[in-house]
Amino acid sequence: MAKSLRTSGSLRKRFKNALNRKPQADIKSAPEPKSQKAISAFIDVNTNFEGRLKFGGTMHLDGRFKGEIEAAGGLIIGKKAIVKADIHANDIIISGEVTGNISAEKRIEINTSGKVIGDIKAANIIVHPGAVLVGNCLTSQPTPKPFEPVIKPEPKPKPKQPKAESKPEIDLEPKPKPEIKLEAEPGSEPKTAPEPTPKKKKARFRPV
Amino acid sequence: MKANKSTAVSAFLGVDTDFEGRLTFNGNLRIDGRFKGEIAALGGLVIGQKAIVKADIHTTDVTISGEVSGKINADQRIEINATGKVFGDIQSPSIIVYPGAVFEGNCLTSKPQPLKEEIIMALDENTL
Repeated sequence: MAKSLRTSGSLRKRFKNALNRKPQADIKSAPEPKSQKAISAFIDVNTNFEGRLKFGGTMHLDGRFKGEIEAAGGLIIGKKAIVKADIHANDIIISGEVTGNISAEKRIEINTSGKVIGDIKAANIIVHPGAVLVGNCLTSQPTPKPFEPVIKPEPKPKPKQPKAESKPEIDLEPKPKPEIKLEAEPGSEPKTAPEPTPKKKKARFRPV
Repeated sequence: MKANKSTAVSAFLGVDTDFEGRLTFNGNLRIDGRFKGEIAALGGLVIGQKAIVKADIHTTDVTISGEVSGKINADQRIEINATGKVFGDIQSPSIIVYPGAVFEGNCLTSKPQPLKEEIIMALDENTL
């Protein structure tokens, strides 16, 4: 641990502080994130997540997670965490259990209590003695993914306008159709029924 | 599972956090980011001012200061603050709506049906 503190400097200290911090302290500090390194999300032991998660800052995960994690910042996986997910982040520190493929743009650090089952890929990989790692290791920088929000704002007003414009267009189209039908009807009448034509003539004469 | 009535926060999702899926927890949770899916919990839920939540929610206690679209059931209380916006039906024995709040939906002041046993089991056994 002492060696890792020396090598990674202030970042490591900051993460260690975040690990030791009480959850209530996080709540107070988090609404005003000054930089990307401020804890932007925190999940405790009693919490289950299932799905896709994206975030910008640093996240501390201590609960159970299943799905997919994508982050522009750092991810700290606590001792009690059980994660079954494919993870992509900038910087990952693992003290818990992770099953899935992990890729980091900067660094993956597996602490003594950490357990990783899956392939890992990062520019720097640090595995402390006692850690469990089952999978392939690749020390190259993964291709950076553009950070896009999972839940995109729905463009509501835009589709409504073209619909209103298109309606008159549709109305114009059916108009010529009845005209064609009218033309076709008199043509069909003499073919099929020569009898109704005299009736019509009689009717026309009467009102006149 | 002692966290039920305590004020300890068991999870927190910040402003720049997007989550899509199912979330179950025991304790208190605060959402300030964006969430889409389903929330089931034994405990309190706080939806912050900047939060945008599209979810069916079932918890013990809900406080809303942000925007929520979906059904909300609370075993004890639903509170919609002045900055809150709710689009959907809400059901709880105690409902508080402050002046300025936006609420579009049906209101029912009776206790909702209890959470499904599977979810409670998952919360108790700590198994995913």
